[in-house]
Amino acid sequence: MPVTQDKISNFQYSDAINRRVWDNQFTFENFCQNPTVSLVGGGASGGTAGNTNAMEFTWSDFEYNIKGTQTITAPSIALVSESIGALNPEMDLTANDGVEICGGIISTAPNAFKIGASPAFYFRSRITMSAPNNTDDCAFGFRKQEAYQANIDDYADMAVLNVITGDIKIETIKGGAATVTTDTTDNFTASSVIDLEVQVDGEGAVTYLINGTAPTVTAAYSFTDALFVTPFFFFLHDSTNSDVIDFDIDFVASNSIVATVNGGALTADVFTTDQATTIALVAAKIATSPVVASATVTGARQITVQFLPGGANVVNSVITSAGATQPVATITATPNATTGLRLLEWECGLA
Amino acid sequence: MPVSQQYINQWQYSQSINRRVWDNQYTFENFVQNPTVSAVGGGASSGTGGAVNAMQFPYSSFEYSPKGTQTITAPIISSISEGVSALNNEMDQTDNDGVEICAGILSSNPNAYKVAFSSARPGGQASPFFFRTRVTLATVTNTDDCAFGFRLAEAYQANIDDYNDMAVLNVITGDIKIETILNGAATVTTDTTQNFVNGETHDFRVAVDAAGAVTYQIDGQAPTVTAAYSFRSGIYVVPFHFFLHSASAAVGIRLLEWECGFGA
Repeated sequence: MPVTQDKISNFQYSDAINRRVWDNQFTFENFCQNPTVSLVGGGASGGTAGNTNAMEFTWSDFEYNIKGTQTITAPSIALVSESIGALNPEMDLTANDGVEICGGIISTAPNAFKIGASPAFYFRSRITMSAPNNTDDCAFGFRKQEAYQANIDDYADMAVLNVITGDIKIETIKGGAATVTTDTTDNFTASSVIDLEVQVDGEGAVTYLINGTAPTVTAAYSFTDALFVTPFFFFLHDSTNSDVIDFDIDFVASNSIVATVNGGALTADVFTTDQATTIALVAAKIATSPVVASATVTGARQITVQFLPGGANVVNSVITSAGATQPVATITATPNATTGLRLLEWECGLA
Repeated sequence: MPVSQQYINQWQYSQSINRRVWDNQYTFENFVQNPTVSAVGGGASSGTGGAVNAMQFPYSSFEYSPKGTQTITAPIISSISEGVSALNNEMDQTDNDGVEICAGILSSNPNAYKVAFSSARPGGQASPFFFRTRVTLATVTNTDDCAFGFRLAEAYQANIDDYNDMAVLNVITGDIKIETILNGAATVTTDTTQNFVNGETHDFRVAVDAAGAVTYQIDGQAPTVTAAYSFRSGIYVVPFHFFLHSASAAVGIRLLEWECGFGA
């Protein structure tokens, strides 16, 4: 049957997506089906620190490198909303562990670009995070074609947009010097969906876009001439943790409630009006602790405490005295919290 | 160098294959090369009942979920005749064990269609869609289930009758039957009165129109006896193949083609 232009137009990709068919140096992946994965060199995908695995989708191939030790040894597809899939690269929810994803680290990779020789090129990623304050690193950009490093600061050359505990920062490294960090003053709001884009011109000068717009504060940087660079994503969980406090019965008149955080007792709250009002008072009091990011009433008898990053924080106890009856608090610690990170799109090519 | 029409015509696929390049919601696989496989979430492909594995061909991706326990943990390509190969998805030859193959169970996968809503054209009216497979069976009496059709995009079930919504052509010990489930009700089985004879190759086609009404074809013809069924409007359905042995013996099942996309 002859295929008419009308019939093709009925079913074809958008032109932007179609480019991956005819441009060898262009990658577009929107993560709608689970990939196959295996260890580079053969065998099942590995979760040992430094393991490099291959990840294959229908139209694109990636490598991913393990940071820390992972029992979940591969990213997988998760539904973000109706008919919208995304890659869940969280792996284990372990502080300071994570994963790096890239198009490959040798100069033959389709998305390896040579500074000064390649025309302008770019890398854009669309991501969402439900808890962006739980990232040590969530970086998207270009780095020198070199061996994987456990620490993003150990790359010799790099230019990235990096979401660090909710702040969107520009980080650059040149010729093995120390990382230069610039706070764009733009923030990643929980559960928002953001496009992060890093562009490199024909001379190696780098510019950045957040949702298609230049950052509020930016930083000048140029890659060294003749370097091969590759697009990459580098992700590490932060050391934030949370506690969930469950009370077995409601508060009653005359109850006096004292919460202790990191060994320090907070001032007492006294029963006020009803259960809802009183538990809200207790949550508000816990939130005043300098190590607490938030304390939220998450059930009729439940408070969830999210700690700030950087320490092994804990609610030691919540003791109730006085009154006819005294609720007993059970505290459940969640050592490492999810970021809810999902990669919706990965696009890289010549500009 | 300008690419002339003559040059393109010299090397291009037939139009039917070519569509998989330009249609994001179209799958055509004729199983000519062994796939790569792995467990979803990482690790070697698993033969544990209920595990979900990914299977990647150059132009198409699938998931497969073992039913029962399998020591052979992935389908492989086998030769059917000169120049023709197929997917051997027998796995272990164990009674009541088998495998389900599917494009994926999330509404994000390219072959997930929203009944009475999915459109071939962005922003257009609802469009019909279809799933066609070409299959050969050496010993038809050894199938408990050899079903092809659409089901609700939901978690994998060990028993085909446990799906919430389904419309399939199912070869059960040689009889070609229509089986449907509507919103968790009991499976309705209709014998088409047509049979699958040992060693034959047949095309099974299940089509869903823009309103959700399902029709069936066996080798391009409506079954001798058919059954009316419509999917519920607004649910996502995915194409799938569900296979169980009825004896600890070979069926000789080979999938020669898998085609799914928009079209009446």
